Amino acid sequence: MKARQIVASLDHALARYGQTVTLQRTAIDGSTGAITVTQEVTCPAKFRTYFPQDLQAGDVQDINVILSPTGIGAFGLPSRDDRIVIDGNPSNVEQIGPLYFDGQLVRVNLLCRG
Amino acid sequence: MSDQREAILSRLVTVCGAVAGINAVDRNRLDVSQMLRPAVIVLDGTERTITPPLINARQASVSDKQRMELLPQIIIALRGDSGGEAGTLLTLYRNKVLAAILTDATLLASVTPNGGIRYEGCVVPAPDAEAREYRIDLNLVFTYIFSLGDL
Repeated sequence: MKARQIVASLDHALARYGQTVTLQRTAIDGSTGAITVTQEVTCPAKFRTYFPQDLQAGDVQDINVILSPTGIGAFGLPSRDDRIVIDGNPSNVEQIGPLYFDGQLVRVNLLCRG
Repeated sequence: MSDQREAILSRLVTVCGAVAGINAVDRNRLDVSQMLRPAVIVLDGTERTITPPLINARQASVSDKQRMELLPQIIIALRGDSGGEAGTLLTLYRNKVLAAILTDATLLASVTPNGGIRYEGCVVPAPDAEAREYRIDLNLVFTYIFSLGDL
């Protein structure tokens, strides 16, 4: 098994079972705090909401997201507080878990909230 | 008459939501939907008496009137590019929200007679490492008359 085979396998799985999401990098207006999107990429992802206690939290929930390095491309590895838009609903990227195999990025796990 | 506690809390949400630049306001939530920023979250907080109930033989046996303090928590949530810039924005919205609350005629009317609105300071919790999400918690005390007839 080589890194490119792992990525190809993930790409295939995301294409077949995933949904399209949009990753956004943002900038803040220093005088008002308004948020603008400076960079974004649309890519396939597999996501799952979880934590039963979020049923009480109302509109905000935690979301587990799996991305492929192929999809994120030039956007690069997401960073803390980038945003991900799922079904039109923006969520905050809280934790980033890149997985490497043989020195190459083969998968990105995200914990998002929104 | 309406319940003063509810009147104050409802009005707080309205006043905070009307502050220029605030994109979302919600009450008793962990966060606002869609993570809109800058946002205000009003938590109902604590209501407590500041006068002992009148239960001796010469007074009523129930608390028909007493002075109360309401301590809601007002959280302002916003994003910043760096610690310095976030601090400036937190100060900006602290000032705006406080000014709106402390000068709102409806809120002031809700705490009369013998009451008032007191600002008791604020807290900025330490942000998570590398985070761009910041919060400031405003502490206000509303003193008002609890009246059994309003319930």
